[in-house]
Amino acid sequence: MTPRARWFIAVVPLALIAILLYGTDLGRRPLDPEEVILSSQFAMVAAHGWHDTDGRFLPLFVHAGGNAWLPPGQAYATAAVAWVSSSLSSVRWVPVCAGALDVALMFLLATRMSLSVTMGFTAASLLLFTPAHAQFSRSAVADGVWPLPFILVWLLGLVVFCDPSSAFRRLALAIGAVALAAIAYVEPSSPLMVPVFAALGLVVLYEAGRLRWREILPASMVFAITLAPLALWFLTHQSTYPDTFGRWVLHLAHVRNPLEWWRAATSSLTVSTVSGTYWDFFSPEYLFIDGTAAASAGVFLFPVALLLLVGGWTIVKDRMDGRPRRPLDLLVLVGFICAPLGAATFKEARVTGRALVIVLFGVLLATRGLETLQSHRTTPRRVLAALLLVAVAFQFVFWYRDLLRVH
Amino acid sequence: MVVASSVLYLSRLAWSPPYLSIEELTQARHALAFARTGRSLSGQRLPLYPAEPGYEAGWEPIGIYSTAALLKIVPFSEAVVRLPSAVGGVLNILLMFFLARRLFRSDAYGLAAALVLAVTPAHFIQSRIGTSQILVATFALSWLVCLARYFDTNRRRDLFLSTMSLGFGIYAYPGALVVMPLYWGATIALLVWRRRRVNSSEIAIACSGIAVALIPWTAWHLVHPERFGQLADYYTHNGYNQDMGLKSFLTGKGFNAHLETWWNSFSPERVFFSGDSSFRFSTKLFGYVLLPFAPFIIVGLWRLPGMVPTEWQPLIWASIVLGPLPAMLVIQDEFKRWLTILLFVTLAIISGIKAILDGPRTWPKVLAIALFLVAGRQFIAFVHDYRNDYRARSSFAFNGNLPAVIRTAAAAQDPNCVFFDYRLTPIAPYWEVYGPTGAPKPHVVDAEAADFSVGASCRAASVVVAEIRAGQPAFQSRFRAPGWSMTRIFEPDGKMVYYDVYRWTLR
Repeated sequence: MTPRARWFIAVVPLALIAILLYGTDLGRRPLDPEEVILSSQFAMVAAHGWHDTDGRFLPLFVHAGGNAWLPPGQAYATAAVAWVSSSLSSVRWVPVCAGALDVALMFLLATRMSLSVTMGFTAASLLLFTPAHAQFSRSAVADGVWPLPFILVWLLGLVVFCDPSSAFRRLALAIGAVALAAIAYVEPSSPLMVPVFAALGLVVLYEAGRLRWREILPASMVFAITLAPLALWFLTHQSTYPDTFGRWVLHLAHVRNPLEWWRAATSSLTVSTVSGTYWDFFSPEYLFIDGTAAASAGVFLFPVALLLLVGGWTIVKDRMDGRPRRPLDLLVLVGFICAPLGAATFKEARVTGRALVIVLFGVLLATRGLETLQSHRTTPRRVLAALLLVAVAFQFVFWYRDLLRVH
Repeated sequence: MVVASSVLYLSRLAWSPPYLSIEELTQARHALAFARTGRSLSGQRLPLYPAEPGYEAGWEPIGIYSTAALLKIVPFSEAVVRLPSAVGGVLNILLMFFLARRLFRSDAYGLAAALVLAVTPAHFIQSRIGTSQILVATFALSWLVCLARYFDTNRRRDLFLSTMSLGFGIYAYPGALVVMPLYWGATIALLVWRRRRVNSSEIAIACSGIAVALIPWTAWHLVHPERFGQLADYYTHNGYNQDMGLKSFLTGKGFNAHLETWWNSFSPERVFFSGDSSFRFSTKLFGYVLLPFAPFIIVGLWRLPGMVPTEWQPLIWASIVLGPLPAMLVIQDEFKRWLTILLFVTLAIISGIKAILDGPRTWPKVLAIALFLVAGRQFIAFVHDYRNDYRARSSFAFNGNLPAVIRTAAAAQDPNCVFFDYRLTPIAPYWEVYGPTGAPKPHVVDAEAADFSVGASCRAASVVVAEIRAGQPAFQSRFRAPGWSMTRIFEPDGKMVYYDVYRWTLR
């Protein structure tokens, strides 16, 4: 059996299980206000010959009345679903598909990173069973699962580019760059993280000794081209800026006066509040044992905590000891640490949807931890790894049962 | 360094914080009672743990007895109540010099460590609070210095003294009851780890050191075994442990709260920007540690292995990670409970500075020096604020200018005719400290009630009301009558007023 056939055999069942788990009983829970806006607004746009409430034809940002605007990724993905089903709750199938796509992409990424199909399968399963991922894959709220497939494609692009044996290195990096830039179109809060991830990507390339202008030029160009429509839109529709990027990313007054933005961003009060909010995103209680949530699960299942610690320690130790390491190890660790940065700037504690990218880096880090435990020669560590995986499955069953019951 | 820090730490103790906090007031009342009568507030003669109604377990004795001793020599003032703590703060700086000098094998780094501790806002603030929590750090430092000497010289006397310091620390502050046994356990673990075997004579010395110091403690608890129950009861209720009692240790909700307290203790917002949430313990403009030291902490912990002797590395790491344990246990994250962490953070900072200065590159050294200068500037700003605006900003957290209120009200010619509106802070403990010696306690009344009057027997009276209530019609009609005059009691900024004293004289 060829490797591709093996990959296919693993990916398809994983994606199907994800669709089954995430898509079960979707309509039982009433729609959130954000889901209602998304769903009803696009039905209306479709009914008006693809014009929004202001009469714009196929607008980049869709005006949903008042000062509510929808990013194009969400709006047009919902439109595609609206063609198939007229039910309002069908809007939730978009995140379900995104969630399933995440699982499939995670398999590809982890397999490629660890050079092991077993690890790929484990990573995909860990993502599948991550409570925050599962929950947001069942909900079409404004900030949620939308940017995750794009980030996975970007990571995949980096991995392939760093592999000297790959035949499509530049193409892979270019695709990754497009995916990274596309994040700006899919979710209100995600554009904040584009520069952070772009900078991290460059650091990884530098670390891997592959930061050569000639090699990254095509990726840089397509990155810019992907963002060009955004710039064009705001040039031609300046009035839309204050209620879209003006609220989500950078206030108009700060665009006009960057010095004022710098003063506001670095004021003691802002830095203090943001740092507090950011720190709170890593609270063990929030991440692993939320006493008020279903089955007491936090963003991750409880057994994942240990895997994360082991994974993080492995990466740090490898660096301290100067051992040969994988180019993306540092990105996984730093990506996990940076994941809530954008969300923290909103100064609202524990808004998981805005920091959901943490689950991707968390799962990769946990997989690294699992790899460390399994690669050890001593039996107790291997047994511990197996026990942790069983515990993950066990807690997920309880969590999922609670989730369906509560919803 | 000692002279400079003495000037900094001991000067204007009564000026800022502006007034005694309610906790300091408790200590002052006990000390005054001992100085005047030789008995505690509950009537016991020189007890180890002076008790009072409402806190039968009794307070830790070191701060109270040292203040009482001072009051035998000098008259009462806020500075006297705070002096033992402030002296403890200066001692800490001196001890830190000896510790860092020994660990980093350099006088310069010893001085740097002393300087870093001296300019740490939390250390400065806590040293000027008269409730002796800073003394826990003093005893912990004494333990560390003696332990470091022992590791260098193998002189058993040092080991004995080190664990004895821990034992004496237990008499300084309630939080020490959690940290000192842990430090003692860490000492035993280090002794075993260092020799890779159990050296029974070494362990026996470590045990006897703490045992000697704990003889009075043991004797007291043999006679008063109920104190354990009283302590457990107090620290699982009264706002501690979310009033869940011992359930907080047995339920998921309780466990989460403990874990949350531990995690939040390390929040950069508090550590580097705002400090504690109460103005009694923080200016809220500066964190526990100066912000420019943050990079040194990270580098220092990262590079600890090359900077300090091997046996100190796990101790520093564990003491920082587990530092907030006392706060975590009672789900109250005020820094006073876990300020011994500062000692280990200071060592981490010095480790970071040393790692950078010992490195081959020039730009990190320049950056380190620049950060040190910025830290100095930040500390100057901190002290300036502490001695000026902080006084006014924090006055409400200290219940306002009650000393001046009492002095003004007590000026009434008839001591039986002093009235306090019941809506004010409970005045009795303040009256005990600031009221005229031997004067009867003031009457607590509803000054807005229609039937309130100063009484026919009063030829002169004072009535104290909250300024915020002074506009009430009942006050307006009563106090504008002939014979009444009003004195506003200003807060430190000379503008804010929380209290008005109405004085009446028979004409």
